[in-house]
Amino acid sequence: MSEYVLEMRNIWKVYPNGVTANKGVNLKVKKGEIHALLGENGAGKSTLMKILFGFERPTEGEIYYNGELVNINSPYKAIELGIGMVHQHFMLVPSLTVVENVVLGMEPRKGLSIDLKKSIEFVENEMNKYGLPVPLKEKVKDISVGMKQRVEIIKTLVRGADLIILDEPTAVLTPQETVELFKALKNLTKAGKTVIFITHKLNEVKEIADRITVLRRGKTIGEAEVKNITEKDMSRMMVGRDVDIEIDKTPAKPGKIVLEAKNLEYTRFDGVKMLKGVNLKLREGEILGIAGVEGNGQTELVDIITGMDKPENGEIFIFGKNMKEADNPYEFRKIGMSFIPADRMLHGVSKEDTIEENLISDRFNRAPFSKKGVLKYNKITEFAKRMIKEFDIRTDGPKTAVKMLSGGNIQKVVVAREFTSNSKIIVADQPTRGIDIAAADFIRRRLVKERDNNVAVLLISSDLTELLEVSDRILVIYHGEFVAHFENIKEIDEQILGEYMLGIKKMSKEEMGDLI
Amino acid sequence: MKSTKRYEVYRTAIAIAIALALGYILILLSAFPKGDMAFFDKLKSAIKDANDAFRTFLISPVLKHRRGHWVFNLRGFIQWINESVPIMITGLAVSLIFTARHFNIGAEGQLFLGAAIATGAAIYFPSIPIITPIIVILIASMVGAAWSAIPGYLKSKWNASEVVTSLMLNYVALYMGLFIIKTFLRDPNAGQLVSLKFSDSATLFLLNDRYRWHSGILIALALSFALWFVMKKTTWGYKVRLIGNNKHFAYYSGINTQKTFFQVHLLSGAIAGTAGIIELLGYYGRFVWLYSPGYGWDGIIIATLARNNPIYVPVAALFLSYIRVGAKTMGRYTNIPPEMVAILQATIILLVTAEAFLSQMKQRAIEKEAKHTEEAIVGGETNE
Ligand SMILES: Nc1ncnc2c1ncn2[C@@H]1O[C@H](COP(=O)(O)OP(=O)(O)O)[C@@H](O)[C@H]1O
Ligand SMILES: [Mg+2]
Repeated sequence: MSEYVLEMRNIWKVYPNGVTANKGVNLKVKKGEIHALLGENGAGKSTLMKILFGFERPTEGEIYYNGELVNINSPYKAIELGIGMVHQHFMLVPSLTVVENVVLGMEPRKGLSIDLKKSIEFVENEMNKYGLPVPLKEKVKDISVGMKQRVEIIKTLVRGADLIILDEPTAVLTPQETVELFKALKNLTKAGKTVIFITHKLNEVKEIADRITVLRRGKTIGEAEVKNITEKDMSRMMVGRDVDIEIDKTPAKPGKIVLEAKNLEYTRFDGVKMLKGVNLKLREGEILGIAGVEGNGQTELVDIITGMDKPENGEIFIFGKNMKEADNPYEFRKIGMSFIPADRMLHGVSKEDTIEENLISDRFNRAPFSKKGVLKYNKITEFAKRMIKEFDIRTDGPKTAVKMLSGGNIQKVVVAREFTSNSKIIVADQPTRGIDIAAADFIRRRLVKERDNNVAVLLISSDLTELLEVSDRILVIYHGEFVAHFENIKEIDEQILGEYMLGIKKMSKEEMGDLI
Repeated sequence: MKSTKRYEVYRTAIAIAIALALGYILILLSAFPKGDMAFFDKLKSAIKDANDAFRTFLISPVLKHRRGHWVFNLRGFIQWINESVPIMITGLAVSLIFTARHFNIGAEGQLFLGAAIATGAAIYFPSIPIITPIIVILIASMVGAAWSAIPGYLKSKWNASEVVTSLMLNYVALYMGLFIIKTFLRDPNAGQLVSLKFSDSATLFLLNDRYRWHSGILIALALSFALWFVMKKTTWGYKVRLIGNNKHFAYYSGINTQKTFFQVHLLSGAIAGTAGIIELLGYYGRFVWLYSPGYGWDGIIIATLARNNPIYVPVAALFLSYIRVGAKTMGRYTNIPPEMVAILQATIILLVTAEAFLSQMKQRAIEKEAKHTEEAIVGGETNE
C-alpha cells in the first residue's frame, strides 16, 4: 500500500452550463496530515471536493482510497468509505437541537421516538474523544457560527469519517474562532484522522497545514511541503504571477455629509429585531467600512439605505433630502446612489440576458441608449464594448449572455454599471466576495479612485483585510447596533475588530464620537 | 453557443418527426380491417389504407387529387390560413405574458367575452366602412384588457396566484358571454343559438369570396411583427424581458416592476380580446359559439412551440392549423377518426417541451464546445 490515503488522478469536470471546473487535476493526500488545497476563487477547489464526496460526478478521472480504485457515486458511498465533508454553507436544521442535528438520520431509537439519552451519551463520547465541546441541548439557531461549524465536524466524526474535508472553514469565522478551529483540527490529526482544508489565505496555510496542493484555473499547479515554501511562492503559484496586494492610498479628504441614517429600526419577518436604532453619517470623499459577523444587521441596513426595503422606524437623508416618501430603488438611483449588491446573481444581473443589456438596466430610458422609447442598439453595443475594455471583462463580446461568464467577470459587469452611473454615493456590499484576486484588486483600487473623485463610499465586507486596507473609517456592527467606531485605521488590526465583532467589547457613545 | 441553438432546432424537428411516426403507427392500427383474412393480407391492406390516409393528412391543405393529377387545393389552403388566425393572435397574447413569467391563462375567457360584447357593436353600430370593424375590434380588445386586468390586479395587490384567478374567470366569461348573446343579441329566426347577423360593413373584407378567405390573417401577421418590434426594440419590451428573466434585478435597477407587470396583463388581454371577434367578423358574420372555442388554450401551445418569440408565433400557428386541417380532411375521406390529431398534437407538445429530452446530446455538445474554447483560451494565455 502506498503512503497516500487518497489519490485523485486526472479529474475532469464539465458542468452542464459548459464551465470546465477541473481540467486533469491530481491530488495526493497522506494519512494523518492536514493537507491544504489552495487556490483562488473559481479555481475549482469546491468542485474537486464535491467530486470526492460524491456530490458531483467527474467527467473523467479516477479516485484511489486506501490504495483501491473507488467509484464514489453518492455522498452515502463517501460516508461508507469514511469520508466526511463540512460544506461552505452549513447543512443544519436551525430549529432542532445540536444533538438532534448530529444524530439526524442515524438516531438511536426507543420505540417510535428518538432515544435522547442514548444519543447524548453517544455524541458526548465522541466530542470528548476529540476535544470538541458543543452545547448539546441548545437549538442550532441559537449558537454561534463557530459552534455550528464544530457541530458539522462532529457530525462527520460520528458517522465514522477518517478523512475530513473542510471547504473554506475560516471564511465565516472571526480571528478568535479560527484559533479554536485550528486547535480542533490538530486534535483530529493526533487521533489519526486526515484533514483536507480548503482556503485561499496563505497565513493560515503556514500556520496549520503540513502539505499543500495548489490549483489554478482548474489545473494542479504543484504540491509542496509547507516548511519548504514561502508565502510569496504560494501566492505566485495561486495567481500565476507576482502580486502586489498593497494599494497606494493618500489620506482621505472628506467633505460634507451626503448620507445620513437616523435611528433605523427593523424587525425581520420571524420577529427578530435586526436593527436597533442605527445611526450613520457618510461624507463625500471617504470610504466608510462596516465590519461584522454576517447576520448582525448588515443586510437589513444596506437594503434600507439603498431603497430596497423600508425601515420600521427612523429616517434616511440623502443630500439632505428625507427619503421617507421614496418607496422604490429608482428614487435612490435618481438622486445619485449606486449599489453593488451582495448577491450578484439575484440582484446584480439577469443571467439569461446579454452583457450589454445588463450594463444598461439603470439607464436604458436615457439618451443615448434610447430615443422616444426605442432602444438604440448600436449605441448600446458601442457603450458595452467600451465597458468591456475599461473593466477588463473577459468575454467573446457584448452579446454574450451573462451566465456564460465566470464569477469575477460577472461582478465586473455589475461594477462597470455601478461605477459609471455618475453617482455621488456608492454602496458596495461584499463587492469582492467569491471572485479572483486580480478582479478583487481591481475593484478595490477603483473604490479608492472613486473616493479620490469625491464620491462617498460605504463598504460592507466580511473580509477584514480588505476593510482595513481600503477604508478610511470603520464601524463595527453587532446584534443590530454599532459597537465600535475607528477613525484611525492604522492603529487597529483584525484581532481588535474581532473582539468587537463577537461582542466581547463595546465602545461607549462618547468613545465612538459624533460621526455616528 | 452556436451549437446549443442548433440543438433547439434539431430538438423541435426530431420531436415533430417522432410524433408523425407515432401518428402513422396509430393510423396503421386503426386501419386494420376486421374479418377473417390472413394476418399478412390484413397488414397489406392496412398499410395501403394508412399510406393513403397519411398522404391525405400531410398534403391535403395544399394539394388535392383531381383526375389523376395533383392540383392546388384552394379550399384547403384557405381553410388552413383562416384557422391559423385566431390561434396566432392568442399565441401572441400568451407569449407576451409568458415572457414576463406571469401565467395568466385567461386568454380563452378574454377572447370569448370580448367577442360577445363586441358582437353587440357589430350588430347595432352605424355602418361605416372600415371604421366600424376597427371600432368593433377595439371594443373587444378593451374588454379583453379589462378582463385580464382582474388577475393582474389581484396579483399585484394581494399576490393572488394569477393561474387560479384567470382560470376561474374563464368560466365566468363563458357564462357571461352566453348570457349576453342569449338575452340581448339572439337571432330568434335562427334554428340554434346564434346572434343576429352583423351589419354589412362591420365584416372584414375578403381576399376570396367563394371560400371566405378573410383579411384576419393580415391583421394577425401585422400584430406579430408589431409585438416582435415592441419586445425586441423598445424600452418597454426590454423592461418586460428583464422582469421576466429576473424581477429582483429589475427592481434593484429602478424599474417599477408592479406597474410593468400590470401593463403586461393589460396588453396581453387587449391582444387576446380580439382573437374571437376577428374570426367572427371575417368568417361567420355573427356570433356562433355555444361553448368556448379553445383558442386560448391553443395559444399556450403555440407560445410554447414558438419559445415566446412573436416572430415564430405565425410559424407555430400555421403548423398547428395545418395538421388540424389535414386531420379533418383525412377524417372526411377515410375511416380514420379525427381524434387522431389530438393525440398527434399532444405528442408533439410533450416532446418539444420536455427539456430533458435529448439533454444528453445537448450536454455532450456543451462539453465539446467547452473543451474547444478552453483550448483557445489556454492558447491565448501564453501571450499574456
Ligand atoms: N453547480 C455548478 N454549475 C455550474 N458551474 C459551476 C457550479 N459550481 C461551480 N461552478 C463553476 O466552476 C468553477 C469552479 O468553481 P468552484 O469549484 O466552486 O471553485 P472554488 O471552490 O475554487 O472557488 C467556477 O467558474 C464556478 O462558477
Ligand atoms: Mg469554493
